Amino acid sequence: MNRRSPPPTEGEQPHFLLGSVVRNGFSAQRSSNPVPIVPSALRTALQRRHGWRRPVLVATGLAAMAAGAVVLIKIPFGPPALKYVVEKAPSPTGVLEKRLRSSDGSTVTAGAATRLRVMSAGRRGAHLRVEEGALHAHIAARPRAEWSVEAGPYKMALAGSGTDLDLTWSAGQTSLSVVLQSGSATVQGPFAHREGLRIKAGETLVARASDGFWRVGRSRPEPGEGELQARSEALALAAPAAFPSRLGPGPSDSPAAVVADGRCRGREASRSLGTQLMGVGEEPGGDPWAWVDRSGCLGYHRDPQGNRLPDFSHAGYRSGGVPLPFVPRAPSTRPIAPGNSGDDTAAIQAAIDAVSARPADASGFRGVVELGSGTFTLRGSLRLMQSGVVLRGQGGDGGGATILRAVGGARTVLLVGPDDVRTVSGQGHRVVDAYVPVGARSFELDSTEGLRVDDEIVVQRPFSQRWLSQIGMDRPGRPEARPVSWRVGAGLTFERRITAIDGKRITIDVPLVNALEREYGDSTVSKFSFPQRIARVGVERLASRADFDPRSDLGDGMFVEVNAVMNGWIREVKTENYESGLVSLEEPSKWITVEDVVYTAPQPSPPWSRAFVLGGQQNLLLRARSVGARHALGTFGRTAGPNVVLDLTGVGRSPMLTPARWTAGLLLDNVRLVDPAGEPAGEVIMRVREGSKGSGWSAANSVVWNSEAGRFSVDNPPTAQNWVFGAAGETVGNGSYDASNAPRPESLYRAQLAERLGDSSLAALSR
Amino acid sequence: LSADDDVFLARSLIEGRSEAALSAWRRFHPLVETTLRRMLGPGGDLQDLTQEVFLRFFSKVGELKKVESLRPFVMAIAIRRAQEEIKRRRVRRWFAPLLGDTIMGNTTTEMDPETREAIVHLYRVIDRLNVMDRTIYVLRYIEGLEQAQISDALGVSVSTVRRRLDRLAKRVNHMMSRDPVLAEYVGPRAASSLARAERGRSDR
Repeated sequence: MNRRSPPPTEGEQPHFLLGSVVRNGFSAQRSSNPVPIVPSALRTALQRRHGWRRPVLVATGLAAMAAGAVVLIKIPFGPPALKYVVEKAPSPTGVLEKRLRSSDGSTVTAGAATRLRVMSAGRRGAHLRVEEGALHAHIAARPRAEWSVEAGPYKMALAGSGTDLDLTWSAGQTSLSVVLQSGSATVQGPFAHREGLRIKAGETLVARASDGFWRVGRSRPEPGEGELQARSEALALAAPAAFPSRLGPGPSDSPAAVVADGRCRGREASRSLGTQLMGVGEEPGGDPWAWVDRSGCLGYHRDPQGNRLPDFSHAGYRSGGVPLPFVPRAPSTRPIAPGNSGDDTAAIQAAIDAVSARPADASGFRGVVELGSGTFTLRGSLRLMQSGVVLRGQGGDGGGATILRAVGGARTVLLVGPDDVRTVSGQGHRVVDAYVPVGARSFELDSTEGLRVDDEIVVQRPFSQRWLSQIGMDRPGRPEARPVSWRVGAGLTFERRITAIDGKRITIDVPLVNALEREYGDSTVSKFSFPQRIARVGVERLASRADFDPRSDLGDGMFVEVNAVMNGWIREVKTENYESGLVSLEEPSKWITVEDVVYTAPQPSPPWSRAFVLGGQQNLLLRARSVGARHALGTFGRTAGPNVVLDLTGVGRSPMLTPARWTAGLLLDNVRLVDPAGEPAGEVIMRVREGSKGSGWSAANSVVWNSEAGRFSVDNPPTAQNWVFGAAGETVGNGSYDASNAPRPESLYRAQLAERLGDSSLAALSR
Repeated sequence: LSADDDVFLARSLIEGRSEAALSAWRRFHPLVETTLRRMLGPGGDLQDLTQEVFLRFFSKVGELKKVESLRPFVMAIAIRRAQEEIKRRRVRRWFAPLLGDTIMGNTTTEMDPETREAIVHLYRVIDRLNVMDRTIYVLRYIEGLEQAQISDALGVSVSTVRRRLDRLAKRVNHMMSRDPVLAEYVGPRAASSLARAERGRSDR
């Protein structure tokens, strides 16, 4: 008899796939040390066999059913529909008001000019529509209450646990404001979040339908002693913002004018005066480089040269702390559907070009190229070369996903921004300070003639022969390892903006992440222009799979390359089968946020496979996941940070994280390198590399913060250092490992961001 | 060798040798626990149930007709006990508010979140099947048994198993397509996901 089952049908495949998921999932939790059968356990088991429970259960059940039947007989159709009355009466201040009183105890009060309709009233609540004006609603606490309010395109469901809110709707401006005093509410509307926004007591929603702007904020009482203590604890625990928030597009490319709470700002100013200890007299023992002081502010220690942990919080879209915008699709346009020609490149490019030709609106956006669900085949590359254009799909998961399938020769599939360089104008101003330390924002020049506040400048820190000699990169390493030496050249180029000029001293917006040492050559400050650089571009909610011709060099396969772009974003993008990565942020990129992206490497994964490449400056990689890549993250040589990698997970047999050739100011914050079973694996390398490519020193003035890997190999390079705080895994090297027991926040980036812009800015980091 | 060991062990158990019980426990404990876990899904403590399965096994092993079928015999007891537990949990779910307890414990935190979510949602779906259909589903797609093995374990004909599986695949497919997490598995990417999962498994 044939014992074999017939081969799986197509309909059975999902079940076998899920079966393997279950097997793998449960195999991780099987008890490795089973409890042997023991008399007590036998007794327990035997007791369970005693039959007294079943009759009790059955009797209880029957009693419950009988009780239920009685209730049903008495109230056969549930409670009656709500009744309500609408009254007009003067308010305590004398203004005439409309008041709706409902039989469940709820009241809705509206101004006389407010246009309010009761659309329906049921047993559990009523549905109201505000056509214009303001109201205050008090919804009585009642189980399974269902009250809802509609205003323009927004629909708000109110929780039945008792809700008090103020709502204002302007139909002309399409603006909505909701202040929730108690309870909670879920708001549906033209947001990126299909599931809607959930607002809790004490929070305020401001939204505008015309341009998709919205923001959720929390009104805060004045900080007292108790709050400072709580803040200190919160920082130590570093609870990220619990609530998702999005800000609409802003009118310019400058950093958002978010008002800081200022609690630590004054102290920050006093810290910059060069004192060695920046706390408020409570420096913890163990000589830590950073800690949370008693007032909840971050304290930093400077070394004798003045170097300290730099502020990384400027990384990300619009200099950090600003949620990515949601740009609505023009109502007159429809998503593009996949074609039948076997190549959709031209159709998508034509749509991009059409949107690129539109004038920008007041927010600086031209529009959205929206791709519909399905698989688009690309035989060429797409080019997004105009400011204010967003390429959006329907998501990277599920049946409605938008999938870009790249075929043909291996290449970069999506190019964003021109491949251009900034133009430096005029003669550079020489930095005259003998030593400008890491973390500094102020230094003296030989002259400030021609410089003004708000000028965009580059600070160039050269790679001189003397410095290369000092760090040992002026001569080849072992012939088989590092066959060439580093070359003398421009070195690091930091883009900054002048925020103050005082005589010959200038102050810049973002701290330097490499020291400027006069003994190794003159650093210079020059004004620059970058007319070709584009801004406000985004790629979102897509998946892409590479099925490149295996005869081509598959190592060229990359999904998106971001070149001369400022204030751009990549979010909710998934890729499969690309050897060189999901995204590469190139040197001319600035203030780019890449968030919620998943890279899945080809199988078998080649040794050079990389998930993400982080170059440019002040860029943020947030919640990225690499599956199977040999290198979870790569950087370019001479990357002039700060750049931040936050909440990265690299899964693989031995994932590596290896910055390249003097990557300055890289923060690895809550990075996890794990094997498929979730155990720490792989290695974070910040030391001189004499391996197969022999690239030399990797990272400088970089930070590992509360991260996990099989091994951390971190050295302090000559003339610089690398800090490690909270490394879970084997640690080797002479890097600046924090051995203190000082309290420190869970996430450095979040703590610095909250300190600079206020706690509300953390909402920008939520999903 | 393993089958020979099982035969030797079965004979020792039937003869009532004291050391055989401990050997049987050591050998079949993982099998029983895995079967129970896969049948019942995430949550809940299996230790008591595992003990009960072994109690039954020790009390019934004298009835074993074919000594070479020791392993299927253990598994059949585990399946039967799991079926009873499924029924018991359904009753308790009805009366949970009266009894003041929760039916499902917390799911494990050892899995990665995606796996955990998929498993929880899958068991939520197959919870809606009757006990026999659920058993057949688990044995075929999660345990990976052949149809003939399922027929032996449950004492039904192979054609019954086949017929039920045909119906089950369609029905569960439909339920999965309406589940936000499981819909991905029945979508157009299911084939590539399957291939990926297979590759991932071979990596390990």
